[in-house]
Amino acid sequence: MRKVILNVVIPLLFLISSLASFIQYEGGNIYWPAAGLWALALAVTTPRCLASAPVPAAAAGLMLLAPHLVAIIDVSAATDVQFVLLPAVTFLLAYLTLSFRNIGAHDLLPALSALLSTAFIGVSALAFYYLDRIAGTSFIPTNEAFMLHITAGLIGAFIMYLVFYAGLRMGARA
Amino acid sequence: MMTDEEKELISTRLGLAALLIIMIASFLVWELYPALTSILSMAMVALPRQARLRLCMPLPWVLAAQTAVVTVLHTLGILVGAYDLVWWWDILTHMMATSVIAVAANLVITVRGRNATPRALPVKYVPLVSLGLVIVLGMVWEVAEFSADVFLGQMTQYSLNDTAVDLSVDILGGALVAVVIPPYLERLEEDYGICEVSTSSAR
Repeated sequence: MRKVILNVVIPLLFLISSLASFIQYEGGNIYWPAAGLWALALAVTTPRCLASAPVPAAAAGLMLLAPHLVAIIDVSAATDVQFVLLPAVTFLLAYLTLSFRNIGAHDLLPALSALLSTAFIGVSALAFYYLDRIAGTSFIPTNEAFMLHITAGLIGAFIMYLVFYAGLRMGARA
Repeated sequence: MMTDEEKELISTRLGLAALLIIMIASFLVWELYPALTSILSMAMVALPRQARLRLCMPLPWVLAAQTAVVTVLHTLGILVGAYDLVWWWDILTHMMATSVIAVAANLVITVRGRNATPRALPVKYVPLVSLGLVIVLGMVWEVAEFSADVFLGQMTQYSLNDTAVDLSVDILGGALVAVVIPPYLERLEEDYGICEVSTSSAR
């Protein structure tokens, strides 16, 4: 039973939630589908590795589904949930990506994950800015919107880093 | 023939002298922002020398020279309004600053990575990690500027275009260093960043 959960349920949950991230709500977070794309890439290329990291993989999957679960009760709250959870989702995706690469430096994983997730948020913001310039869209209408996303990303990644670093230290002591 | 350490010392002293002049000039015209910036810049110019002396991490002397140049350009730019008058001044200082930071980041991460557990961080990942760090530091800088504008009534971010270009140039500077630095990292000595414990302090 445990094997079924690890090898089937968790990768399937991850795949479904990554696909579900492309369902957008009115005024939804434009970076949410970008994170979903990252999750989809992991789900497709490394499904077995997801089974080897069940807790962060399940957590990321549930977070990607969270806006839809909240939307059942209040649709307008779904976008707020996306805004709050985006740094946490990207941190977990970064953590999974790096742990699957077997870089060896496990004590540096929380810091590297924070770096990668924050860099993803910064680069995705720039990508949408240049998309606006080239295609005439208005994904990022103002400097304030750009800075709000970057600030939230920095703060969220830092909080996740503290949580994982504390967990790493507690695990080392045990 | 001057050694790298002597070149670094000369670069540091020239940079500090130039910043001191800018600081005095700033106080004379009562412009406190460039005065404060010049003080902070002096601390930054002193960093490479301190890294050599206290951390046993000798940096390329060109790094010390470039740190001095970019801090002088930045502080002078604020004082004389070059950021408003010269459209490429911001791009130049951003590119120079991030390349300095990127080289330092690569070296620091290499040293830290060697001491990672259970295994050392492979050197091939160091430039990518450093690029990520440069991007994050660029974001932190923009947040600091935004905060200064919002809470202190400054005008450091002119527009969305200005912010985006600054961040883009930061990434470009970091990426260029990531491309050229790997051979230098491979040749770093094994004891780089490791200071010997003196026998007198051990007692």
